[in-house]
This record gives sequence, structure tokens and C-alpha cells, in this order.
Amino acid sequence: MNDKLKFCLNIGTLFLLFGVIFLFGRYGSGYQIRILNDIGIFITLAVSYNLVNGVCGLLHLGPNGFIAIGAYTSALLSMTPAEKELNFILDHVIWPLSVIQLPFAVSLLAAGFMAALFAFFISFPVLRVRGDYLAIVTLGFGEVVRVLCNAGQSVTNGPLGLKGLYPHTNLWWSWGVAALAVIVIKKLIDSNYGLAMKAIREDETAARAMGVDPFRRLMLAFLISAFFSGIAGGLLAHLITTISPGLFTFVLTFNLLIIIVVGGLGSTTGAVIGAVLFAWGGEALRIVERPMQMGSFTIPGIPGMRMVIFSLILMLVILFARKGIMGRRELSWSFLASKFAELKGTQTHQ
Amino acid sequence: MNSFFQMRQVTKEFGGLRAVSDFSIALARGELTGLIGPNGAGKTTVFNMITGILKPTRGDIIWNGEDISRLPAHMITARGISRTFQNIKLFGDMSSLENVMVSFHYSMDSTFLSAMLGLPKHRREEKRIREQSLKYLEEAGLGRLAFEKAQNLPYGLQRKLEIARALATGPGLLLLDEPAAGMNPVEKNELADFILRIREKHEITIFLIEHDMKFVMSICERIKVIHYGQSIAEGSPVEVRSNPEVIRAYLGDSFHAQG
Repeated sequence: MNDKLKFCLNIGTLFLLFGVIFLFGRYGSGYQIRILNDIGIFITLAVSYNLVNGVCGLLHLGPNGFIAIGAYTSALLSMTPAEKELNFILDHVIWPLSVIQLPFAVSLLAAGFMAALFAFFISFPVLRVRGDYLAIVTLGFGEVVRVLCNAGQSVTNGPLGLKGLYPHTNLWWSWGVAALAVIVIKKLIDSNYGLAMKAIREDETAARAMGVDPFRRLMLAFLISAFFSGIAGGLLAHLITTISPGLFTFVLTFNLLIIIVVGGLGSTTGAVIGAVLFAWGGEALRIVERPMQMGSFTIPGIPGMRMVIFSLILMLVILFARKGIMGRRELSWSFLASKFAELKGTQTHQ
Repeated sequence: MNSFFQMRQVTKEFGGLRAVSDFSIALARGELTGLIGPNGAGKTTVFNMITGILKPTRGDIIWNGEDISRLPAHMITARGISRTFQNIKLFGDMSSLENVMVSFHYSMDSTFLSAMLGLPKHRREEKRIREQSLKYLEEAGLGRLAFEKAQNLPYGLQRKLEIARALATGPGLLLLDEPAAGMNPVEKNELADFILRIREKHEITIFLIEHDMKFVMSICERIKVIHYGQSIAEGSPVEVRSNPEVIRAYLGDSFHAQG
């Protein structure tokens, strides 16, 4: 398969994807559009999270902090001064924020850069340690951000949160960012930079001896991951239009971890599949929480039942597909072509 | 003698344990030197200090007129010292080709942004790295296994892949830590030829640790012997073989008394 054909197929798929998005945006119900938006945002989050956890092999447990920073940054920048005045009832919002209002796109970019800036500062202590210690340190920083959001009354409005954001996020935004994140992160992983990151994951001493500076490469992955998490946070804020510190607890990180583990750690395709299954499956499983009629029995609706089923699915994946759905493989055109050829081969044999 | 690599009175202490003490050596350009000694003599510690994996407690390591003893490992590699490991350290889940391609990372020109955007300049560089890596693999006889995962290669080939990967960093000094360990006699002969061949072709200096005396004696021009972290002898294979200190270190005192 040559590169030109692959390129055409990629462009074709992208057009197809946005064609479907366009149709849904036009004819889909509000409910469908909402789920699709969720999926887009979760794809961005999962793919950027996978860059650190799957490709670099760091057990980073603080993406909720980056998402929170992104969400607050973009919300505070895109709200009008009047809206802020309405929101901050206990304490006035501090000066530069009280007067500025920026376009949504600029606020998203700022969200990405703020998250990356935070990642830059914490990467010095974080990247000094590895393994469980890194997990604990990042977990701590994630919590620190949430607590700061809770306490910073005059910046984040504390536990009251920010309400009444304009719902800027539409399908074009969420899926445009998702497509961009998947493409650039996949390109990075496939480049020599990605190889260096994988080399650090496989054997850090050997990677150092081959001239790879682990600190700089891991920091690069960490910053890029934070950048896209921040943007996704901004999108999330303008999708649900209300944010409060309670939204960015460790549960958010845990959900992302489920997504990339089920999808296959280290596989971008896996992260995408995991995100789709999670965001869509979470809604599809609402059926089990409704009252059910089975013959003469009536099972009352049990709230939280889908979480039980989620956990069961996670356990099944861990038991029977330990490397997740994709393992570290990727779904590529060459792979599809070889599968197709195999299928044809078996048919001609019969 | 044109010595461009020198270790001067290098000492390494781990707490109270002195693993290497006052170790000095000078290597001449293009020379093939062996480092031998009984188990636990501190040979690998010497290698770890040269490559920056460990920092010496005292002493200097001079490479091309620069003291490299305090530099981090990746910078030492960038200055032209590369190594293999005693217990093979390949990037197991990556293909042979990818293993070698990592060695070009430190010398990449294009930035991560051009990689993320897939700019033509970056694509050209990736292509060049790929082609050069394939050449190194072919040189080591691994051309056909380029897309095989490193962890699936047989043991002997894993050792060769490690050498190919180290060579790809473009070193002036190559450190081989027990390259022949676990190989059968035929494989060892092949390896000896391979080592001599790469020395000629890439004009590199080689410093190697090896336990197989026949192997060391047959390819090294000069041998350094250490015992309990102290250098006890240095010279040509013939000189070292007949040195009473060396015989005592390897075979013990009683043998010497009887013999």
C-alpha cells in the first residue's frame, strides 16, 4: 500500500466522518447530539491521556487537574463581565478577569496553554520519580487543583462554581478538536519522538545510553497531553454550561483510566474505541436502570445499576483480554488491507 | 601513543563498599582493549561510570580533552561513547528496526512540532533515519528480521542487535559488556569476526568485558585485569596470561603454591 493511497483514504474517512457529523447536527435529536459531543470530548481526553500513560508508560493520575484548569480558564475568559458579576455573589472577581471577554476559540487556546503551563511547573517534581511514586505525586497535584478551585473564591467562585456559560460547544468544535488531537498525537507517536518515548517505557537505562534524555521527552509528552486535556476541559465547560470543583474529582481520572485500559494501553485506536464505548455505552446502559417486566415479575429500576455493569465489563476485560481491546496494535489501512486479503484468500480456497 | 580516552584514579564507593578503587587506563585510537577479572571485580561498574549511568566518587574520565565524569548518560552518548549491556537491555516490545532508529534520536534536527504536523523536512529526516538504520541492521545480519519484535529474537541475535543499536549512535568508543555470554563456539567465532569488522569499517575504539579467556585473548590487543576493584595487571594477552598476580586472582593462592 503506498503513501498516496493511504493519504487519500485518510482524507476520505475524515470527510465521511464530518459528513455524518453534519447529518447528525442537522437532523439528530438533542439527546443524540449531546452524546456525540460527549464522545468527541472523551476521544480528545483519552488520546491525550494515552500519550502519557500508554506510550510513555507513566502511571499519571492527575488529568482531572489539567481538565479543571482548562475548564475554568476558558469559562472565565469567555464569560461577559456582566455574567461574571452575576455569578460572583460572595466575592468580587479579581481585576483583569472582571473586565475581559475573549472569543471562544481564543479562550480554548488559552485553556490549553494554561494547562500546559501548570504541567510544566509540576513536571519538575513529578518526573523525578517513577512508578507508584509518580502515581501518588500526580494524584496529589490533581487534588491540589480541585481544592484550589474550591478555595479561590475571587477567581473560581469557589464551591458555587460558574453557571450560565454560553453553550459554545457544538459538534464541529468537539469533533474538530478530537480529529486534530488524534491526528497530531498519532503523528507524534509514529515519529522518532514517539519511538524515544516508547524506548523510555521499555527500558529507561538503555534509552539514556542511546542518547535519549528521558526528562525532556517525558516532559514533552506531559505538556502535549496537558494542552489537549485543557482544551477538552474548555469544551466540556461550554457543553454542560455549569462547572464546579465537584466535577473534576478523581472519578474523572478514573473514568479516563478505564477508557484507555479497556481500549488497550498504548494504542491510539484503542483510546478512541474506549472513549466511544464509554460515552455512548454509559447512555445505552440506562435501560438497565428502568423498571423491567419479566413475565409476572416486575423488577424495580435500580439507580446505579449501569455502574455495576461497567465494573463487570472492566473485570471481564481484565480477565479475558488483559491487554485491552486493541493491545498495543493500531487499526491502520495496511492492517485492514491484509485482513481483507486474508478473507478473500479463505473464500477462494473454499 | 595518542590516547584520547583516559580514566585517572577513578574510585567508586557504594556506602562503605569500594567497588572500584584508583582505576586508571588510557586507550589509544583504534585499539581493541579487554577488561577482565573474576566475578564482582567491578568491571561493569567501570563501564557504568564511563557511560554516566553511575557517577564516580573520585577521579576524572577524560574524553577528547573533556572531563565527562559528571555528565548525564545521554550527553556522554552524544559525545561519542556508546555501549551494550551485560543483561541484554533491548526495547523488547519494539521492532529491531525501531530499536536502532532510537539511536538517531539525539541527533535529530526537526522539532516535535514539525513531527506533529508531518512537515516535509521531518518526513525526509525520518526516511533517512530509517534507511540508515536498515543498513546497520544488515551489517549485523539482521536485515530480514527488521520488523520482528526485539523480544522475539533468539539470544545471540539480541546481542547483535544491541551492538547494531550502539553502533547507530555513531560512537568513537564502543563499550561491549560480555558480548559473547551464552553463545556457543560457532557463534563466538562469528561474533569475533563481526567485532573486528565493525572496528575496521567504522574506525572505532573498542573496550570490552568478557569472561571467555579464549575469546578475549584472540581478539584483544591489550588486556587490563582488575580484582576487587583494583587494577592488577595490564599488557598484551601473552604478558597477562603469564602474570602471577592474574593467575592468583583467577585460580587462588593454593594453586600458585603448588604450581
